[in-house]
Amino acid sequence: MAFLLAVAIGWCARPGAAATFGKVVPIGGHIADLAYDARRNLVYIANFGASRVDVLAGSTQSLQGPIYVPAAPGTLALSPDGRFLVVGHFLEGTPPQIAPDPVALTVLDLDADQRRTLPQSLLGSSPLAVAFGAGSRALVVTRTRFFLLDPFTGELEPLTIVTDLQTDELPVPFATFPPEILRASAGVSGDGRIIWVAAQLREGAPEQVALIRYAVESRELRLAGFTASPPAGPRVVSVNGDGSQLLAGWALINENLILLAEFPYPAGELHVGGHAYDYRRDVIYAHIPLPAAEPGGASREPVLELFDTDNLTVRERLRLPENLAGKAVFSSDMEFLYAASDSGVTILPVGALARAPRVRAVQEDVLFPGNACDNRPIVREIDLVDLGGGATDFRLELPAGTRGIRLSGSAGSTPARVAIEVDPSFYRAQKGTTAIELVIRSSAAVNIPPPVRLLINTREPEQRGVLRNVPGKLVDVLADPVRNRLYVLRQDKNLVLVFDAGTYEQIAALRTGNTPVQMAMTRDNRYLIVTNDHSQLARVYDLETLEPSQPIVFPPGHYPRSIAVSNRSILAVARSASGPHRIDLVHFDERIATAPSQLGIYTNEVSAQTVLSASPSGNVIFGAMPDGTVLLYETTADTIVASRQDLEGLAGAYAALADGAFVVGPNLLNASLVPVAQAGQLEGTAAGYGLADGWTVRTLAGAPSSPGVIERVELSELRSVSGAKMIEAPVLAKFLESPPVGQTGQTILPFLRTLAPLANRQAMISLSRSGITILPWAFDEALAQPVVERVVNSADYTGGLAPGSLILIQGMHLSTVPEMARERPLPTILGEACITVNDQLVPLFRITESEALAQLPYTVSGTGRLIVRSPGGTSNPFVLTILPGAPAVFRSGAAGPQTGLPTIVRQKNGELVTLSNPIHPEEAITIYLTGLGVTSPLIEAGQPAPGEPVAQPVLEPRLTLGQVGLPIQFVGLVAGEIGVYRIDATIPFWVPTGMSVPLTIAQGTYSTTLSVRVVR
Amino acid sequence: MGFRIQLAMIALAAGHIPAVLGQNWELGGGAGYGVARSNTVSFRGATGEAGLRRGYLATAYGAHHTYRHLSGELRYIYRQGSPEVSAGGRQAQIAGETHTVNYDFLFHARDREFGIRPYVAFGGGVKVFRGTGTESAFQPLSEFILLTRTRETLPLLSVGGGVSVRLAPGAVFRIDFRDHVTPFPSKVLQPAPGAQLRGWLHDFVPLVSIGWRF
Repeated sequence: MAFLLAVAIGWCARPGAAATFGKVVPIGGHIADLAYDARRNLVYIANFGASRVDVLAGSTQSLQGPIYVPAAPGTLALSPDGRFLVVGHFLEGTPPQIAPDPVALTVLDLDADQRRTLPQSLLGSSPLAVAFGAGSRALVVTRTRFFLLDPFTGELEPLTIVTDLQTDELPVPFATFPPEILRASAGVSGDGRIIWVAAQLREGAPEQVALIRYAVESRELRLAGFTASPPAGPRVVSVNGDGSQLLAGWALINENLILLAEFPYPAGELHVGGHAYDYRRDVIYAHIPLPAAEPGGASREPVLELFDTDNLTVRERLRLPENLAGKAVFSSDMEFLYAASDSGVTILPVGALARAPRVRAVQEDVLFPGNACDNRPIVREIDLVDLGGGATDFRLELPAGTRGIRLSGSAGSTPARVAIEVDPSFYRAQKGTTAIELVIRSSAAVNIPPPVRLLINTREPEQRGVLRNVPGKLVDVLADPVRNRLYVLRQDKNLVLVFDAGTYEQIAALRTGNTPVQMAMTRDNRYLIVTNDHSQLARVYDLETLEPSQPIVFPPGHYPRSIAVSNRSILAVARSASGPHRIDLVHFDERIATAPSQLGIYTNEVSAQTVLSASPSGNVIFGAMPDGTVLLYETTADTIVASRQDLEGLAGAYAALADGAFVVGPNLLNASLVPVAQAGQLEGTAAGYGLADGWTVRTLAGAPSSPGVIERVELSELRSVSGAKMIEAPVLAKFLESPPVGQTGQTILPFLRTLAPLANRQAMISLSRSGITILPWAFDEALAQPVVERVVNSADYTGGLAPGSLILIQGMHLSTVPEMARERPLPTILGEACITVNDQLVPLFRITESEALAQLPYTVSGTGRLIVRSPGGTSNPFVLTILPGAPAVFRSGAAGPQTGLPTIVRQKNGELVTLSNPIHPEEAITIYLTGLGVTSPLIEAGQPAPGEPVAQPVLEPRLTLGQVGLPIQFVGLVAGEIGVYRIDATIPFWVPTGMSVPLTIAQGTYSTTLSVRVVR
Repeated sequence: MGFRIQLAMIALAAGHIPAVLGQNWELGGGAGYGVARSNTVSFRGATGEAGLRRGYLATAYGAHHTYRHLSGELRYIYRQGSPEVSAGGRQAQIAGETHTVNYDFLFHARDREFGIRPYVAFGGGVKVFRGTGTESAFQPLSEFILLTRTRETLPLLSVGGGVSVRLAPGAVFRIDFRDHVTPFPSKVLQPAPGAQLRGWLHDFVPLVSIGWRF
């Protein structure tokens, strides 16, 4: 019943409007505070303007008769036993002649239906916050004092700390809201043992915040002052289960008052927005409006975002019916969240959120890889799902004027698979990657679905590199010099993505702080340090275990951005919330950072967009600022030894290539930071610098959708010696910048590190539009023409080939970059190479310099001419004979140390047939093989076989064991596999036995024979 | 060949039985423990041991005492006997068992009126070897021996002796020892291609039995 009710009231879709999450119950006034009565399933609402406590029944989600109180209720709290409701009245500024000693507290005994009032003279000033923990007494916070109130006797016990909290005074101008008047809020931990209060500390300075922690059992009271810029709005405190973590305004703080994370775009308004810490589900619900000045901030669309509780990563975004406006309380079962909102209370059925209609695509990006061999339209599929598991409508929209893209359906109901067909000829002129946003809309879904990025690459054969799609905003890349790994910083999801530098497969994802900016490795290569622009912490990871290590704590108000590790010191540029931005010194062993006021002879004041780079030797650290200022740290002096400003408007790539050679943008600086060379006319902006075999390598980017350039550079003049066009453009800061998406962080420095030569000298990795581009180590080497020497089937490695056979092509210079297909259907270009047979494209599984695993098209037969095309040229045709059927059993089986075993399986035990696992009469066997030829229905090469209907070979195979025919139970392509057939057969009783009985599979005029052991 | 020898043994026993009908009979049962001597198997200069694992056995017999110093008995023995192979400190086995039916002639040193009667025995019969366990695609030491789930029947030669002790009128306690000699069961313990194994399989069988004469 509760669930049905929740669904009924939780979200609604109005015709012509998008659905929203939650239901608004208007109250006619402004809410100052809320309290939930678990015993009666009621919500008490402090209706500040109306001087009453409204009562909302949880069972009917409607208002009951209010409780009238003598003055404006600014705060209220319910005792844990549900007996006493303590209401604090706010009367600051009321002239004495009107109320000589006004009522400050009303204690309502809900069981006895009695009330007691306490005058303001007992407290000294108006109560700003009242809260019950797990104890029987309420904490009362006034402007100057803290008290414990015994609701049974009405006795007030003053606590020792005295302060001077600030509020507004009555009367106030129109359109002033309770949080702006009281400027205080309290939150209680889930276990009731800790009460946190946030209040304004200084008059006229809403950014001055007092955080008060009260431990209920020990009665310990602690107070700390903060400066919050913008003001710490919304003025709400949400506390986790044990009080060790709280959200105060826009900041996530731990019990040691370290800022773990902050919402990246706080408007700082005290009365708009709200949040709640769901410690049971480990999620934070928050409505944090964007500042009006931000792009999209003026729309004020109310959005509830779900955040991770460690770093405020946005999980989901839901539409709200209206703005939240202050405190929120959970029902006792935490199924409902009652949140103060513009009109009254918005009831959010968070317990049923998992079942709420929320549409999204499974894929974040869809890559349409360029293929110089193939101009045909490319088809990829996306899956639209409802995270709530239901059938929910969706509509797909492409930007107006989009050409060359066709959707199999632009609207439908989840779950659905939509095919996207891209005609590359429309994008041919780009010779790079065009990104198009596919927007998902739904009238019934309560979420805001993230768009899908369509990445359409077109390329010429000479363009170098292999694309590896990595969705998200990638802002830094680092090659591990000792572990054959690659680290990529994904800023929008707060992750370090760890890739194997041999296979380019992602092997781990490490959670960072909010909005990670840069990475650095310690000189011993043991730890990876990641700075975060919305956290006081730099995260540290042990690279041996890929586990988090103790983070580095920066000074309060410091947010680490760029970081560099020298042989002696670790320097980090810290954005400062107040005062000048600084270079902080990291004391790695203690895991703290300090901010010296002076660095050598220089005042420690830098641009927040300063970047640092250590030289390969670790002897120096080079720094550059957008205004042209550069600086140099030396380990011998252990301080900044030089700084100049000879250049203007620096941006783009930067690196300390040697102890006395620094590059930034097109400029080369010497050991004294004097500009000594400038690159001439470049084919774009310098996007990345790297060192490879003693050479300097540089990437250049023009437009985002154009090809990039990689070139070998003669360092003394920054002159290009040789180069090649890249498959797509490396990223520049301006390519990455985008309007904010809710509270997803974005800190794009004008300087980026986008190029990482791998330690294994296999490739160089460039951050690029689709993710990463894998560039050959010898990108500028004269390439040799591919040579095909041998083509065999990949099952038994003989020359028996049939349509659809899996084949192994052996030769030389087949590919410049080893690559393995990751998608299905198989690509027809891989490792910069494509292969055709009789002008028909061959789908590829993998390719290396000497070998390619592929599938013959089903539509070739007779004599075939196989040709390989790569950046090195076109191979001479290799002539194949393609039979209608050429069965070949895979030799890919393994048992213990034995490998290369035929893939014949005894169904009785599911293990391969071997000498120790012989075939027995009256059992059944399964044979996996390729080469059974064309099927009915016909399958397109490179496509996984369907499960239903089974694709069966047109030409029936025959099986004999020791000359005895075997009845075939099944023959067809294995569902989900490409080019793999299966034959199931039973063994008659009368088959001959022996150690080596011939098992023959024949099809047409071709047959293949294996020896198997048969035992009766 | 094995089948013909088996028939010959049964015929031998059957031919003797009619001659003793109406004489003293003895029926009994007992238990024992079989210990087979492993045979050497070699493969490319490396050697291993193959044979039957030691195991408990159960037996039943029927004997007839035609003469004062000569008797004969038909005996069945079930024996736990997992085929096994070992080499270089490693070992592999498959669950298995044997079933033996044989007829022995017993030559007693003393007249049957004596309470304690030592005797020697010899005879023949058949022995069925069975591999009953689970085969797998990879079996350790498969370069020597392939342990196979199958059945194999082989002729048996039985030699040994024992002593019978009269416990009470009509009741005897017997201690026996036999060496059951068969060709090596090379289907259940199939030598791998290239492996060489020679010799006969000796299964030494000590038995204790209780019998009733009537």
